[in-house]
Amino acid sequence: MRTRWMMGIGALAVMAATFELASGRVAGQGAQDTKGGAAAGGFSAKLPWGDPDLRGIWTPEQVPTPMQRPAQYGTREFLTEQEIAEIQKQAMERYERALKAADPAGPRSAADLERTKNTVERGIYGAEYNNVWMERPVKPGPLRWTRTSLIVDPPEGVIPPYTPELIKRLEEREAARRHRGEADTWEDRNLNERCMTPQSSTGIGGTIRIIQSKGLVAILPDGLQFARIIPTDGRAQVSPKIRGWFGRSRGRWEGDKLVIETTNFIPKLDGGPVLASRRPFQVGYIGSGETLKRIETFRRVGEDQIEYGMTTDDPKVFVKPWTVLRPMKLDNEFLMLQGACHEGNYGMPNILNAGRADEGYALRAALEAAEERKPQLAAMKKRTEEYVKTGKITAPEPPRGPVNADQ
Amino acid sequence: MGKWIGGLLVLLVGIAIGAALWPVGRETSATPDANASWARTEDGKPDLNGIWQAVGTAHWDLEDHSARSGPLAPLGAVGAIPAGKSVVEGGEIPYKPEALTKRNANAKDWLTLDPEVKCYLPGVPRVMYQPYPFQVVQSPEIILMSFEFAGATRQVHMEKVEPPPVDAWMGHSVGRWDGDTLVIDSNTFMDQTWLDRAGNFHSAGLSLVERMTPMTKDALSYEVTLTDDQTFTRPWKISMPLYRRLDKDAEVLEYNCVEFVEETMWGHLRKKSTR
Repeated sequence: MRTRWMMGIGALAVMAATFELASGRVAGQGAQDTKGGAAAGGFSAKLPWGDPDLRGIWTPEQVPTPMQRPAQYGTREFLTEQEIAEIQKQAMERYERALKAADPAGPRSAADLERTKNTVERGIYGAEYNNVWMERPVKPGPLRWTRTSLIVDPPEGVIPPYTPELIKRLEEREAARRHRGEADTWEDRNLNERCMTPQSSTGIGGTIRIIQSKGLVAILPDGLQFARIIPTDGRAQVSPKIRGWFGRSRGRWEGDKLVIETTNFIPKLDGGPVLASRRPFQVGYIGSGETLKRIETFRRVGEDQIEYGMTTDDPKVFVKPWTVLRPMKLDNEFLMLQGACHEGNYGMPNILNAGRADEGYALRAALEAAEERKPQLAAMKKRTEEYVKTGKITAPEPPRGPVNADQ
Repeated sequence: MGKWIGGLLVLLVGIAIGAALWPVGRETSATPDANASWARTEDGKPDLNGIWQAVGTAHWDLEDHSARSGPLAPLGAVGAIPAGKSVVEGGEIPYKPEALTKRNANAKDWLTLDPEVKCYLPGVPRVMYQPYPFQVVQSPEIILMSFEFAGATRQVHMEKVEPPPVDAWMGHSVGRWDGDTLVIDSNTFMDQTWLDRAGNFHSAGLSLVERMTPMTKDALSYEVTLTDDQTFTRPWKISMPLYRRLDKDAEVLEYNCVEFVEETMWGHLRKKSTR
């Protein structure tokens, strides 16, 4: 039970983190300033050896900003006060609706009742446990982050198109999927289900702890295990023959800004040559990782705020690089939990078992049909044998067993 | 003149003795003189930053054991198990009778039962003496240990921290300095981690006191006292050195072994080919 709980936390945290970054969820807002965080002057705290102090637990700040810029804003970078007020109002309404939906004694929509009437989860409508991921929007008021999109480059505020090479790879992966079931092997399932740390391909989407020591920055994501330890001592990157799901990172300080370059990703961040079953193409990064270079920046713009930047540069995947900028706020009270996904992955053997069971049902159904045809075949055989023996044409027996529509 | 030199000598000897005794309250450490050469952090603590690794056979078996063949014949000498001396104080782990029976059953069915084979988070103290390096990132508020195997991590909290709401594979660790010794109290473990590849195990009631003390410039003395009333008749202790990796540009690389155990764990659930 404990294990299952931990696994649940791990998997949900990954999902939440991915969703958060992918959608740039519109929720509430942060606090004071009125301009985008980038415009804020900066905040300088130094460690004894002179490096800027980024230590602490940092969590993505609630902003009214989606990942990609809605068409209505054109190339406009910042929201107006009126737009912010409207977004805040909608966020609060959504939040209150969700609370209502989670009330066990509350009214149920006809759709909810219909959806859950025949399931093992009868009486469970989703809101009860989904709401744990919702953050209460703070009271409407002035914001310090008012961008219209998290993507700040290209100026259109959207992810650039994929390269022809990437489209070809997707088509090949779709083709490799044909003739495969949903659960022939684990390779037919997505990386989330395989506990393969797919957040490595989406950058930071959740809460992190930053730990610093001379010449080192460590980033520990909440709800996961891996720590990224980033040398800032100017050492050379490892050989391109050494690759991994997290890539290899090298950091440097540019004034008060920490710049981390990560390359050497394993060339199967998208799951490999077979497209996983039942997974819509995600927003963000869907390349193999072979030529991916990720540049992240951390700049402390206030005592409790970091501006996090992430540039995705992969000439095999995007026609041009793109950059996300988002604020993260200091939250040293945040309880960082250990993740353990693989350790409690009951999902994978259950999915594969279900796949084999499906095949078993299909096989048994085919055998039953053959069994039902047996008397019919016997009668046909008898009639033929009689004709061969006697030359007499007897009346056929009326059909028995299943009759096909085309007979 | 002679008197003056004599006086200077007395003074210098005095300073030297004073310096040697300076970190008052320091408890036992393996070779106290070596500490003078130990690098220190800004707050005056021994600087544990670096990449460390145990060398020995504790990961195979904490107790005395002869060399023996491995479980997979095709691996031959590569997969055989080297002999080793016990790292347990007194030689043997003080199991309760029923726990000893379970240990022996674990050993017999090692490949099927050992969580390490499945790439599960190894727990503590096992993770400290696995045959993989780990990196320490030390700061006054937290000491991070990042292990190559399965990307496991330990956060050793040096400041006040809330206890975790549930048991965790790598436990919950709170550290403090006792002179130049880092003392770590850990608990809140799962009952599913083992202590080595010989079936030695513990229950969820395990609690640990670890002591890490500078020995030489490039070695730490590592001692652990294990207490688990459900499994052992009394607290018991293991000890071994942890060595600094001195390779040029040493780095803890990625060993994301989940990928390597999918066939091991789920190969029997693959679709059978129809061709």
